[in-house]
Amino acid sequence: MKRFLIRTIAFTCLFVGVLFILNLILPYNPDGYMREYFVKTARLDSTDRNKVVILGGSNVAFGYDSKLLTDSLNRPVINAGLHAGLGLKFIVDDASRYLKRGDILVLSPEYEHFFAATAYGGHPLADIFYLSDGRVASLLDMKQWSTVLENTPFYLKEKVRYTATAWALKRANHTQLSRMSAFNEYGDMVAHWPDSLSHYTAPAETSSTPQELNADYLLHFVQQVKEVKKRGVDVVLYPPSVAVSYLHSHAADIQSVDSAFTTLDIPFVCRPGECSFPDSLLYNTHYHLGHRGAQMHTLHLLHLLRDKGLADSGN
Amino acid sequence: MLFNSIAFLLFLPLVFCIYWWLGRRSSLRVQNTFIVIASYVFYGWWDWRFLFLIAFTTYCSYLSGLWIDRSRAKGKGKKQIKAIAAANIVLNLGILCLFKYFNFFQENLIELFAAIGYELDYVTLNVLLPVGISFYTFQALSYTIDVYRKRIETARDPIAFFAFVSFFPQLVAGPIERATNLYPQFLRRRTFDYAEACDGCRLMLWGFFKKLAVADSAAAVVNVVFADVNSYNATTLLIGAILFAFQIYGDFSGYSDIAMGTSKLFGIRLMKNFNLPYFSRDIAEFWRRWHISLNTWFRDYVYIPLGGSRVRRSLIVRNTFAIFLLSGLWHGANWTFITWGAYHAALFLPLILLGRNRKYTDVVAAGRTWARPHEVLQMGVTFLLVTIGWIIFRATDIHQALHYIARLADLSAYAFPNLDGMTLLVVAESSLAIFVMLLLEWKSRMKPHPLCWSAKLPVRWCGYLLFSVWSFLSYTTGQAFIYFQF
Repeated sequence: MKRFLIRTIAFTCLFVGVLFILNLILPYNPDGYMREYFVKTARLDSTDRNKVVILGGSNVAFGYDSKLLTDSLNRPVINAGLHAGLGLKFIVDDASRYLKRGDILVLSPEYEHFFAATAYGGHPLADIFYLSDGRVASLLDMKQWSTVLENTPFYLKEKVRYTATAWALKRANHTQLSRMSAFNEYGDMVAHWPDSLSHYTAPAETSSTPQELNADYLLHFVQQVKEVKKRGVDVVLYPPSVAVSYLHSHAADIQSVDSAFTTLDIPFVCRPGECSFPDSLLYNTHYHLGHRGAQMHTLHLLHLLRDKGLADSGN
Repeated sequence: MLFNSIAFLLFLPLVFCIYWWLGRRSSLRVQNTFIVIASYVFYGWWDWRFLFLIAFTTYCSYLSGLWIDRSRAKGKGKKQIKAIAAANIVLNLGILCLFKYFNFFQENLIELFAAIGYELDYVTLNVLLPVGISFYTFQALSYTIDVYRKRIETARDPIAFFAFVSFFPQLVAGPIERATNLYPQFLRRRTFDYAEACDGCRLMLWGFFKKLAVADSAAAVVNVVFADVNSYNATTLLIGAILFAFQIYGDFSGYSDIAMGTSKLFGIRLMKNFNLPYFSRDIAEFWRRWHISLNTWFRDYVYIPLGGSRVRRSLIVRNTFAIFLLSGLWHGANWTFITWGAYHAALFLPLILLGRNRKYTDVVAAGRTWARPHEVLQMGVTFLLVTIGWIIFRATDIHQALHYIARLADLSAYAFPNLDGMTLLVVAESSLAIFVMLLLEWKSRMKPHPLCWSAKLPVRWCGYLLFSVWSFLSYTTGQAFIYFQF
C-alpha cells in the first residue's frame, strides 16, 4: 500500500509538473479575444473624468457605437463588455472597482446570467485568471474558483491549439472577430461593421422550456447594484439587445427576469421588447448586433439617458 | 457525482484511504458498511431523493430472497415461491416503468385513441428520472431470479447485499453485475493487492482517455450536426454519424473501464462490459462484444426462458425480436430506441436462422499483426451497419433518423464538409484520438486492455503521462455520460 501511495503521489506530481511546464512554454494568442480585457481595464483605470461605463457580455461589445455616444454626451464612454462567460458576478465586481461618484454605469446583462450557474462564469473566467497571473483571485468566491479549476484544461488546450495552428490564424480572414484587434479604442467590437449582411439564423425551436431563476445569484446581484449606487454612481439597468425571434422564443425567461428586477426594486429602464431588433440586424448570434443595429441601439440608449437627465455635460 | 468532476477527484482518494484503513483495523461488516455509505453519498450527490428509491428496491429484493428461502424451508409449493419472486419482479419493474415509461405509453395511447376518434384525459407525471435506475433495478432483479432458480444462496447479510446493489463504481451506468459474481465478493475480506491497484489505475486512465479525448471531443461535432441536419451536406452528416459511433463507444466503454478500474482499487472485480465491438466481423459477434452485461442479462432472463433458439423457427423470430425490442425499450421511452432494437433484430435474425450466429467466437486476426482484406471488409460492413443503427438511436425522432439516412444515400450531396474552421479542427482532434484508440486496441486485442505494457518503468510512465495530459486537455465541463440518461 505504501509503495502504491508513493508511486501515485509521484506520478501526480509529474503530471502537474508537465502541465505547469506546458503553461509556461506555450504562448497564448497575442491577439486573443480575451486579451481585450486588459485594454478595457486599463481604460477604466486611467479615465479620471466622469465617465459612462457600459457593462455586460459580448452583447455589449457588439451592441454600441460608443464614439456616437461619446460625442453626444461629451464625456468618455467605455464599452467594458467582453464575454458573458466571465460571469456577471465577476463582471460587476471587477468593473465596480473603477467606478466613482459621478460615473454612469449602464448595466446590460445577458438574460442567461440569471439562470443555472451562468453568473459564475465559464472558460473565459479561467482565461482571465491565468492571463492576469492570478491577480483577480481576490474577486473570486468558491463557485468561481470551481469554474477556474474546471476550465483550466480548456485554457491549456487553447494554448496547444494556438501553437499548433498559429500559421493558419495568421492567414485568417481580416473580419475574424475572435481577436483583440477587432475592437476599437472605445472597446466596441467593430471588425464586422463593414459587413452589412446578417449571418444569424434563428434556431428552429419556436419556444423554449421556461427555466427557474437562480434566486441566490439574483439577490447577490441586487446587492452588487445597491453597493455601486451607494458610492454615488448612477446605475441604469438596460435590457440587452436581442433578436426578435429570441425575444419570442424565450419570452417566459425574459419576463421572469424583468418581473424579478421590478419586484426587487431595480427595474429595467425600459421594457425588454424595446431592445429587440429584427433578425436581419443581428450579426451572428441573437445578442450580437451589426453596425446598423448598434447605431440604433446607441441612439435608443442616448434617448433614455436624456430622459433620465443623465445626458448632460460630464465635467 | 460524475467520474469526470472535481468532486470525484476529491471523493475517490478519501474513500480509498478510509476503506483500506478500515480494512486493516476493522471487521468485514464495517468495511462493507463504509462502502454502502460512500456509495449512497456518491449517488445522493445528484439528488438525495433518489436514495429512498434505491434503498427501497434493495430492501424489497433482499426481503424477497429471505422470503423465498423461508418458504422453501417450510416446504411451500413451487407456485407460492414463484409468486414471491414474481411479486418482487413486478414491483421493481413497475417502479422502473412508472419513472421511465408512464408518459411515453400514455402519450402513445392518447394518440392511438385520437386516431380512431376518441379523446382521452391527459395526466402527466412530471417525475424526475432517477439516475441509473435501469441499471440497479436489473441488477437487483437478477438476484431475485437467481435465488428462485437456486443459482445463488440467499443473501443473509443485509449490509453486504446493500453494498452489492449500490456499489458506487458501477451503480449508475453498469456493468449490470450478477449477484453470482459480485455479491460473494462482499462476503470475503478484501486485502490490498498492489498489482491489482496499479492495473486499476491503468484501466481508469484508459477509460478517461476514451471518455474525454474520444467521446467528448466527438460530441462537440455530433451535437452541432444532429441539431440542424438540414444545414449540412452528406459528407458532414457522414462525419457526424461516424463520430457518434465513436462517441457512444468511447463514452460507454470508457465509463465501464473507469468503473472496473475503480473497483480494482477496492479489491473488487467487475465483469468486462465491452470487448472491442468495432472489430466484429458480423452483427452476431458485435452483440457478443457490446454492452455484454445487458445482453447476457436479456439472454439469460428473457431469451432462454422463452425457449431461446431451441424452438421452432417462428418462435426463434419472436424471441429474437423480443430481446432486441426490450433492449431498445430499456434505453428509453422513445420510438427511436425501439426502432433501433428492431433494426438490429432484423440484422441478427438471418444469422440465427441460418445457424451462423456463432461463426466468429475467436479474436479477429489472432496471432497476426494485420487483418486479411476480407476481414477488413467484414469489419467495415459491420461497422457501417451498426453506424446506421446509431443514427436511429441518436436522432430525436424517427422522422429525423429517416431523413438523415436518406441524405446519406444521396450521392450527389457529397462535397467538402461544410463546417466552420474551428469545428473542422475539432473533427481533426477527435479523429486523431479515435485513430490512436483503434490502433492501441488493435495491437492489444489479446491483452486485458491497451495499457498493459511490458516496457521499462520510465517508458511506461512517459506513455501514461501522455495519455493523462491528453485526457486532461480534452476535459470540458458538464459532459455527462450518455448512459446516465438510461
